[in-house]
Amino acid sequence: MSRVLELTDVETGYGEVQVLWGVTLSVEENKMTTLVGANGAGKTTTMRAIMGVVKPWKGTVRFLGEDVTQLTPHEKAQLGLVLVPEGRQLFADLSVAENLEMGAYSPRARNNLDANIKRVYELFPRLFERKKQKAGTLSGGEQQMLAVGRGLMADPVVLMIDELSLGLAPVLAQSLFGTLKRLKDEGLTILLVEQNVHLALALSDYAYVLAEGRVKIEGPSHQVARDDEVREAYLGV
Amino acid sequence: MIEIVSSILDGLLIGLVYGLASIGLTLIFGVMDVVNLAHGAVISLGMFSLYFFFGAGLHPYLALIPVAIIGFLLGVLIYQIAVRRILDGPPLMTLLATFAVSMIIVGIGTALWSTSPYNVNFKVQTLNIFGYTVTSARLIAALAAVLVTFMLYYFLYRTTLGKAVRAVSNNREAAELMGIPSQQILAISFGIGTALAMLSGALIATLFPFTILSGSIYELKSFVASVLGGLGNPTGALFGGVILGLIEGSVAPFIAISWTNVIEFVIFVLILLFFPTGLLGGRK
Repeated sequence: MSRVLELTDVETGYGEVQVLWGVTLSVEENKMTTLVGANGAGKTTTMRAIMGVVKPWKGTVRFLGEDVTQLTPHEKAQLGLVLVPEGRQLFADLSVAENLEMGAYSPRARNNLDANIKRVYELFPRLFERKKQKAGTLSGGEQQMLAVGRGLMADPVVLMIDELSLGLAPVLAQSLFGTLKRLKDEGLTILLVEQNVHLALALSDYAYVLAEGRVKIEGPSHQVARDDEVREAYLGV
Repeated sequence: MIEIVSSILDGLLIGLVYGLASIGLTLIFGVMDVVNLAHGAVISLGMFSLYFFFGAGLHPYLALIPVAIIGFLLGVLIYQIAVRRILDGPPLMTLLATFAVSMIIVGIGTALWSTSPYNVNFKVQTLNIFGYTVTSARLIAALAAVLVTFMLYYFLYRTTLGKAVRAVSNNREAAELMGIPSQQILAISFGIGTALAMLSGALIATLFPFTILSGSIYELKSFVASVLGGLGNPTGALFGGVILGLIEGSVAPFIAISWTNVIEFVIFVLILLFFPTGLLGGRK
């Protein structure tokens, strides 16, 4: 088993406000890793620091053995480090098909565009039905499908997903998690941030519990899920 | 009567050229929220470029090609030097920076060419369309403006790079996350906007005499046209340009030419009062 993504003592924040106080974690190949924790614990900031949307103040981000800490987000995306951001962040005025095409903008993804688009439409037939429609006019569930589909178009080595189920009806969330499980079983490496702790821990292989900008506890997800102390102290469930 | 219709027709044709100028302005605003105050100076440069290419023996319409290329390169240069680093600063910063670029261009232009009028003299025919007369130069300028607009739309909607421009305009951060080098796309967009301004200047130079200061009039017209059509909306900008041209054409036979600006701006204020996002609706 190899570690495809490793963070060492990453510190960062916004302006004067420090959010992460030394986050160390790693993501293993073909596994689903999850980051859980209360609101404000630094989950989204960790994802943004990995991508370089927020520059790390200290610490390193290593991807496939290379130090990528200082690369820009688009350079990381071109290497295969892909984030499906919180709140979907679709290209609202572009059609569904154009959103998917833009997902495959990087040269390595463009080579597999045809195969990947077939796969995305097969995973989400709804997107195929609406491929000419503007992304901004889709329902919440369809938008989230498109956000994940666009991420897959980038041909990710690691797919990072920030808040998959946020704002979705439980049925829709369940079906999206089903798709995620299928992708994982097919061998995709996934890093998931999710407010629905039960689902996240049930699906993933390994979990990190974040609080106050630090990793408080880590372990195989089924163990973390059973740990009463963890549940009371950090997850509020 | 024929005279009035001819005047309106004239207005329509020149309006398409105004439209091209305002597309350049609105494209840059739409993609990066920058109001480019160097727009007018660049239009003037387009006029002078055409003048010098013509002077060097190039046919004025053939000269449009090198003018567009120079415009693109100049736009990329302006973006890299004056705009890139302050793009995420307060909006006033980009206004000041592009205004400074404008002062530099007009200053150098005045030093080199003074502010006296120049003229591109080439044979112009008068055409007769259903009994109404227009000059061939006007007709060709309008057709060129329409052709360039079509090319822009083809680029934005049919090519990967053009779609990336629209993606960056929609959501720059998401574009970065998908591997789109947003800085490169922004530079290209600024280049295209500048090329369109230079082209419109060159087309205007085939119609009227000009000075290094002439661009500022067309910059104002571009503002009015793009706000009429909804700022950030290229179709709207073309439409706004046509409205301006039609207004000019309809009033020209009746009152002194100096009144057209007054009338344009009164209509502009009225439309903004009743359609605050422009006639075709703009961004957000």
